[in-house]
Amino acid sequence: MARVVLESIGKSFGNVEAVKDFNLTIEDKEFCILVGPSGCGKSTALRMIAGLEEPTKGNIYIGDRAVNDLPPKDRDIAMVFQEYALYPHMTVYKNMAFGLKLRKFPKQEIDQRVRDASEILSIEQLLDRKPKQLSGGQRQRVAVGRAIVRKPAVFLFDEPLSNLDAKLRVQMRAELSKLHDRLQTTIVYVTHDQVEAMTMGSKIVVMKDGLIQQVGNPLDVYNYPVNLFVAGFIGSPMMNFIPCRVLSKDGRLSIDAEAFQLPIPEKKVASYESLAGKEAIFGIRPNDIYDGAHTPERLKVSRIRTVVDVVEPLGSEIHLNVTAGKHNLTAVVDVQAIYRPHQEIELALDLDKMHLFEKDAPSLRIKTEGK
Amino acid sequence: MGRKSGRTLPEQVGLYLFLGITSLIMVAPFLWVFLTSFKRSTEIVTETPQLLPLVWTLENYLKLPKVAPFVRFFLNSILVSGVSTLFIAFGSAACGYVFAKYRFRGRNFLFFLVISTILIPLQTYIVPLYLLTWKLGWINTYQGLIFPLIIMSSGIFFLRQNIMSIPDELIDAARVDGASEWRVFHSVILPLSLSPIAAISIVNWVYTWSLFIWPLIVANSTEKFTMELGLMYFQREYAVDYGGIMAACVITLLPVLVVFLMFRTRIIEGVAFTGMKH
Repeated sequence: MARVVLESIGKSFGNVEAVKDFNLTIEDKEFCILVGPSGCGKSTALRMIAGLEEPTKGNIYIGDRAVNDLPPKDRDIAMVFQEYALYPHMTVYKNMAFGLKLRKFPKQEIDQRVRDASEILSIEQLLDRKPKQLSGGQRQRVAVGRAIVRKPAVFLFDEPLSNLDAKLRVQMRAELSKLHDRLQTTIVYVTHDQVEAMTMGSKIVVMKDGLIQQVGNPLDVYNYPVNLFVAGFIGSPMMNFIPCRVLSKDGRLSIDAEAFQLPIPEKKVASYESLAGKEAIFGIRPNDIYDGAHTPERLKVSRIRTVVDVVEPLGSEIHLNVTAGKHNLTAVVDVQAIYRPHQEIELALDLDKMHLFEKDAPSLRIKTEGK
Repeated sequence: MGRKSGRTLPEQVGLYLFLGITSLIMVAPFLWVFLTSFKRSTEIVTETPQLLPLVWTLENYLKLPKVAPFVRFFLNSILVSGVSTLFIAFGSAACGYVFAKYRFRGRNFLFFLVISTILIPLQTYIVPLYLLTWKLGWINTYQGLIFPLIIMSSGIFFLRQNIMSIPDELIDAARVDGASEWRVFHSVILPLSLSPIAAISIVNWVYTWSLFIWPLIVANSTEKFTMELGLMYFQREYAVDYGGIMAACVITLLPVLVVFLMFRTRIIEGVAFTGMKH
């Protein structure tokens, strides 16, 4: 068990800067998720913690040790790879025992650890099989088993669920969370799937173009995204973005999106004052939009008229793609009415949950954690 | 095997007939050598040759040790081919691994240099090679016989191509598991390259076993002769002992055949090997 500290880490491949000025502290026993689109540098950051890539600059600490010059085998880490990386010529048992054998553990202890891990992961019956005789889910369990037998200070996961089908992914997600509870070990987990990030992590690190955009607990990042990128990347369906102009009159702020005007709630005025008179992007999550006909009284001030384009009934909720003037919006509404394309409906926006972003603002660079 | 070919019966018959005849053409000389080695000398040189011996005899085999020390030749050949093949199997895998998976300055140039030697036949550099061997004091020694045969550039090329298809993640996983660079090679790369290694081993075994010109100029005494050189004992100025040659040929062919039969699955896999699925 250990704290992981990355201090001003940078990594370049030729002229390409894959990771830039990366500062992050992952506390002991924390489940930290690095999330971002392909090519954002999250896997490179993970591989630098593992010792599989050398940072061009900066320092990495695991526990109290600076590990920059240590090879992977001496960093007390275990890693689970995207393609499982099981040795095809070895049985499941030998795959799991390989790391312990190399570290010259006594045979009896190796056997004990492999059997304990296989019991935790329910793979006891697979120990004599070769990887090619296993399904994707089973291979993933074996890969996790190979990591946990080592009892390392830090677990590193590199998109471990991306090769599984949707159902298995949900199941493994829950199992990995349970495993973290049980093992109480620091985990650094890389994924491009924001649902994995939101559901599993105790801390998430959103990355883009090699830069950290925001660090925080999942709900903070969801509720208080620091920039347009984070707001769009975290949350599904994606946040609605509408270009607008921020107007100021008698100390009150409002937004003008041509098709509609909305007042900015008083408690948010202080945050957005600097945008008064400027072009901005108004953001609202689909879940914060309601059908105007079935809405609590307090939301009535923020009604807008829209026309339904597409109706996507998901059983427990309905996704509505609507048009307001020239703007497209998505709303997630309860199953309280029947909606049809071309139907005119009134939607109510919960403006207490609205966001405003400066238009054309560069990606924000967050050096310290938290909001 | 067992899959539907989609051919009509006449097509099928025609195909098998064609394959049968070509196989027979390929096998016929070997069959002739094998059967002739059991014939008496009067039966070999005759106006009406027979495929099968009229009288089966082992006299051609029994006289081999009397004509020349064929047991010694045989062991020499085993030694030369064996040591050369060991070096090539191991060396090609090691070099192939380095060229496939390590990044270092000048790698592509070095690799180009290695594969360009495939195009240069032994005959073009045999004189400088001989002079080098002479300077090293290795004329008429085993090391002199073997040392030009311990590197096979086509083997390095072949192994590199195969090792490139082993996922990098496997190597990373082994490193994280605690393997040293040597252990990664020994425990991951080698076991996963057995098929291509078997393929280049058999090719090299056949090549070194049948090599004539290099042993001829380096081996000056009978004790260092290989089987190929030994065959010269039956070709005299005015007479050729065909029975003896055939018997010696059969013995020369046997180890190659045995090696092929032992590793044939691996060899075929190795040759057909195009990529690894994980």
